[in-house]
Amino acid sequence: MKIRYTLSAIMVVCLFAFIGCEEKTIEVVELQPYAPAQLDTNAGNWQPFVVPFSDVTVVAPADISSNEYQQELAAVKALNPNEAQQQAIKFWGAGGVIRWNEIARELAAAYNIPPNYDENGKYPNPDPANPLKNPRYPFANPPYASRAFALLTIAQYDALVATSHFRQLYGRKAPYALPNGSTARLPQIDAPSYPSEDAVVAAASREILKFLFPGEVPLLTQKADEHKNSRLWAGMNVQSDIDAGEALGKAIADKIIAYAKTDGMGAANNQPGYQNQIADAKARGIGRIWTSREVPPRPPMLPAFGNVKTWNFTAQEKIAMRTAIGPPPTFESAEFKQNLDELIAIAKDRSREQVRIASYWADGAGTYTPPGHWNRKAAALTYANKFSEVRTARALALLNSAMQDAGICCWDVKYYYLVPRPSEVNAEIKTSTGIPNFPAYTSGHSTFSGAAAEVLSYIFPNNKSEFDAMATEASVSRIYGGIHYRFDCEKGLEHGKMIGAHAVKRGQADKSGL
Amino acid sequence: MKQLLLLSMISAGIFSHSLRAETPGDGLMMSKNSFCQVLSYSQNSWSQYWESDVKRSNSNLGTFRSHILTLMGAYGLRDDLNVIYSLPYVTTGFSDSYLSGYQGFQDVSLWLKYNAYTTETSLGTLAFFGTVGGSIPTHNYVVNQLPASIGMGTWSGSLRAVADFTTKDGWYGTFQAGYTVRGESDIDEESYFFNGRLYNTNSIPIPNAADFTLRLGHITSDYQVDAYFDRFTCVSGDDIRYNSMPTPTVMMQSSTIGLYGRYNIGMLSIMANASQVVAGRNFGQSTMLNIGFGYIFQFGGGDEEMTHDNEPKLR
Repeated sequence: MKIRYTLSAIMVVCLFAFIGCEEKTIEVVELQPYAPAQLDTNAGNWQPFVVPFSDVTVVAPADISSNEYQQELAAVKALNPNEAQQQAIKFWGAGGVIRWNEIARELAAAYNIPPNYDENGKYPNPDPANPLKNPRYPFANPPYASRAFALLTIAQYDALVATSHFRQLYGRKAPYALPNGSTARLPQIDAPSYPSEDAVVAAASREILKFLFPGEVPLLTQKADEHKNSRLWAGMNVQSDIDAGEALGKAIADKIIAYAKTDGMGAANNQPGYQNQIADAKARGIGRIWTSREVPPRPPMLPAFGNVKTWNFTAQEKIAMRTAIGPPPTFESAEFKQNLDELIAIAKDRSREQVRIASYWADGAGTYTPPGHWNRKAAALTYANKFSEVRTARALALLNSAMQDAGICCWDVKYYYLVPRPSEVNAEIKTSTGIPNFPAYTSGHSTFSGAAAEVLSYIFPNNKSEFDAMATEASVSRIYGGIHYRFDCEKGLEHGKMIGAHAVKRGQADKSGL
Repeated sequence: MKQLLLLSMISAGIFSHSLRAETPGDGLMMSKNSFCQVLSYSQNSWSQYWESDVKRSNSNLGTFRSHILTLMGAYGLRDDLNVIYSLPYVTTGFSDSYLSGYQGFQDVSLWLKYNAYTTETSLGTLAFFGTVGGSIPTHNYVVNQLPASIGMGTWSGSLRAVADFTTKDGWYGTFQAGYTVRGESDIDEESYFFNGRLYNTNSIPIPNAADFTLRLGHITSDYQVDAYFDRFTCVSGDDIRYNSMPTPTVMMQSSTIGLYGRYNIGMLSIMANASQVVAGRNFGQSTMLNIGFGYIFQFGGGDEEMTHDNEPKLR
């Protein structure tokens, strides 16, 4: 009887212990605010991508002795941030540029969902006028995401270059650097504070992301407001620093958006034009044309993305690189047969490690895409190396200009050769990841990753071997997954490195001296 | 052996095979030193599923099938205390997809079952049981490719209570309710989307789950038959996103009806089971068919003569 009571008691205790376990927490790494290793106070002289500071104006600030300024200073000094505000100070203090990069990655993952077919077997297009209705607008597929990251980081970079110029021009001291000034709740920086870097980044990022993700205006507005206010709560800026930053960030973003509206993205999903691309390929002697593996057949992803304007070279250079990469091996060639046999063998006996690598790099539907994966890596390194805001933005802008260029060039090649996916050539090839709905040659992952590794190796030369290993693994992951021939991956990686070299050349010539 | 059949109903659930693997929730016990070993085979299939609460099919998947071969057994430590194990081998695949399925041993489970209270009345016997146990994955299988993944890739601990009433002429009703705590699973990817947010980690918390089953049937020394209703629900989690594959974070829910029968030939039992998911959320509308064979071994020194466990020997 004694044992009976003991066991019953143990069970009752277990029951309560179990029910107490209902809350699930997810551990995520917390970033800490830091003072940059270099202040980069000369960044006003660095070459921007699109908008020079001469295209925008920032009104001269009120003198710090003025009544107006003193009132603003007193208002900041009177602030006593509550716990939520202190968290916001710390959150944004880790770096506005990388925080907005995180937000962009989250939005890319949220919107990277292909439309489902309707009852008529048609795939409806997302509607920009109704962005929150399924299928939501935009479908943030890898080309779309590559452009989104490029526009965001280029706007941030151009805006921070202009900020640096105007800060040096006006030389207004930070409120915490004044005698009897504010209490800084973040690491102090010995640099002028007008206009506020953070307000510039918040406003530029918000405007670009509103343009790209029109269903997210409330979220983006709330984030930007919190970002700007965190600088007042932290005692780092006064209101006029913030207001000037807001105006400057918005002015630069507006010009980037005007640029984006003419970059050719509006015509990237030209499905009628796709028929001309097929006819053109057939005229060049290409006999076997890619078809969708989906049921019902899905129109190919952004067939004219290859015509979008590149950042770091001309359309002629794009074609010259396509020529340098050359055509795929013919279906009859020994190389083709060998590459196909490799995939058949993998599909028959895919190892756990091959599945892991294929999944790790898949970055498919519902994720932040391969460009997002590389942004995350880059942001971790700018943070670890204590980059200034403008240096971070430069690194990310160079990276993302290269990755969008990689997407454009790769799409140009894909729709030039229109090579069927391995599973179309041999239906025995089962895959461990979804088959992307566009032609095989060359691999987008390989091209994105080759370009990314090239740029990051220039920015973080000590990590070059790590980046090369990552890019190679990302590339072969597509073979392991069963969705790319080895020649797709090798040529894509090579192509990506050429594309990345153009971004490196831009970086070397941008007067940063980096 | 009724409990063992329940064990074999692995994977009436679809998006997680582990969920059904652990319902030692019936009203019978193995007597001391007797051991029952069961081998069972189940096939689940569905072509319709609930994407959140929207029922749909998917022409790029076709019909999903899983085949589960399970080894399980129960041993009487004492007449009122049994230990139960199970080890399923799961194979999955789609009829109309290029996506590969998976196969392999899933999770090994171990439970203790305890007959806490029994009373005889003029109408029959009323008994209460408690079960506590857990499971761990046998190896590092693929987790984040549901529904093709063979399991959830994490430990679980479960606790359940069973009430059983059997009349003197063998009619019975059994109600069981359980709660399962599950741990975290390391996925191959380094981020995932959950509840509208992006998490930059490879560690996914698998939702805890509650379930109950009501069975009504008849048992004699030769056979047993019953009909049952089962309700399973995760207590947290999110919905499958529009036109997306399920993630291990989703809140799976299902209501299942089923029929079960068993026939004894000496020490051998033959069992069959069929069930149908009739309602769900983030779940496949699965049809399950199962057949199993069990054999009883007696190791010396029992408290009593070996009795066939189909005699409702409730204490």
